Amino acid sequence: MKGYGLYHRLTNGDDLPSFIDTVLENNGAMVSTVEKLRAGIPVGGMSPEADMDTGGATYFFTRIRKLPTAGGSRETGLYFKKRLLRRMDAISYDHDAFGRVRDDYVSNHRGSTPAEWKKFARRSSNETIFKYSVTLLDNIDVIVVGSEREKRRLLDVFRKRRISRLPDGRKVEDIILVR
Amino acid sequence: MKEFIEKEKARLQALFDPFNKGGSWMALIEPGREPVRLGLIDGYTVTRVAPHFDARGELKRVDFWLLFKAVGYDEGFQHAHTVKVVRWSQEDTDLIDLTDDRGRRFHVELVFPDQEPDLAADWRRWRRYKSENRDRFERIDADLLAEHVRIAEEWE
Repeated sequence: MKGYGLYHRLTNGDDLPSFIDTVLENNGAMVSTVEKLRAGIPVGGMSPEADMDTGGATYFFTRIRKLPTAGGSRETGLYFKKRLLRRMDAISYDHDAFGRVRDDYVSNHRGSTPAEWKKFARRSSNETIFKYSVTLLDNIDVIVVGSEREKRRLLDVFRKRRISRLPDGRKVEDIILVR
Repeated sequence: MKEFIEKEKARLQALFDPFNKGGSWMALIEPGREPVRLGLIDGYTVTRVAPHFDARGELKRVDFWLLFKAVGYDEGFQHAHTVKVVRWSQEDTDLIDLTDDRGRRFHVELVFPDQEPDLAADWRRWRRYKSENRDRFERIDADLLAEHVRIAEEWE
C-alpha cells in the first residue's frame, strides 16, 4: 500500500485555510453529519436525507487514492494516512454505496486486504468511511492547496495555534503542497 | 461519431429537464433489500454516453453515466453520485426508472406541489438558498462536475 492515502475533498465552497481554522477551533476532527448536528454546527442549506436512511450519516467519508507525493493527481484537499484503513470501524467499498452500512451489505461488499484496497483505488468512486470522526493532526498525510497564497494563509492558521510540527514529527510546511 | 454522441447526450439530458426544473425525489431499490429513500435531488447531468452497435453497425443500446446531486450536497462530496445507467424506462414524463451496472434500480418522481406540499416547500427553500449563494454554488458545481466527469471517463 506504499504511496496510497485516503482523500477527502471539500465541497462546502470554503477555502482550505478557513476550513482548517474551523476544524482546529472546534475539536480538531473531521466529523460526520450526525456529529455536526450533535455539536450544534448549523447546516447552511438543507441536510441531505439519503445518508440518514442508509446509516451513512454517522460516518466520515473518504476515497482511497494514490498520494500526490507518489504520482497521484494533485487535487486540492486532504489526504489522510493509509493506516486509518486498519481502524476496526473503517468500511471500504469499490463503489459508491450511498454510505450503506445496514444489514449484510457491509459483510458482502467490504474490502479488507491491502490487495483489495489497491484495486478499489483504481475506481474513482470508491468509498471508505469511518464511524463518527477522524482526528486531523495525527492522521493527516498531505494537504494540497490551490496556490502559494493559500499555502501561506494555511501556515498562518497553524502558526496562530503554535503548531509547527505534527505529532509524527514532520514540519507543517512540509506536508502542505501547492497544486 | 462525435456528433452522434453529442446528439445522444442531449437527447438523454432532455429526459431529465422536467426533474431539474420542477424538483424530484429518488428511491434506491436493490433486489432483496429494503428500499432506500435518497430524498430530494437537486439535479441530473448526463456526463458520458457509450453507444453499443451490433456486427452490422446497427445501434443496439446506449449506456450513459449520470451525475446526480442530492439536495444539501454542499454538506459533503458524498452527496454527489455518478451511476452508469444500462437500462431505463419511463411510463410517463413525471417519473423515470434507471437501472445501473450493479443491478440497482433508481426510481425518480417529479414533485407534485398539490400532493406533496412539504417536499415542494423544501424544494423552494433549497432553490432560494442556492440563489442566495450563487457564487459559492458555481464553485462547488464546477468542482463536482470536473470530478464526476473524470469518474465517468475512468469507469472500466
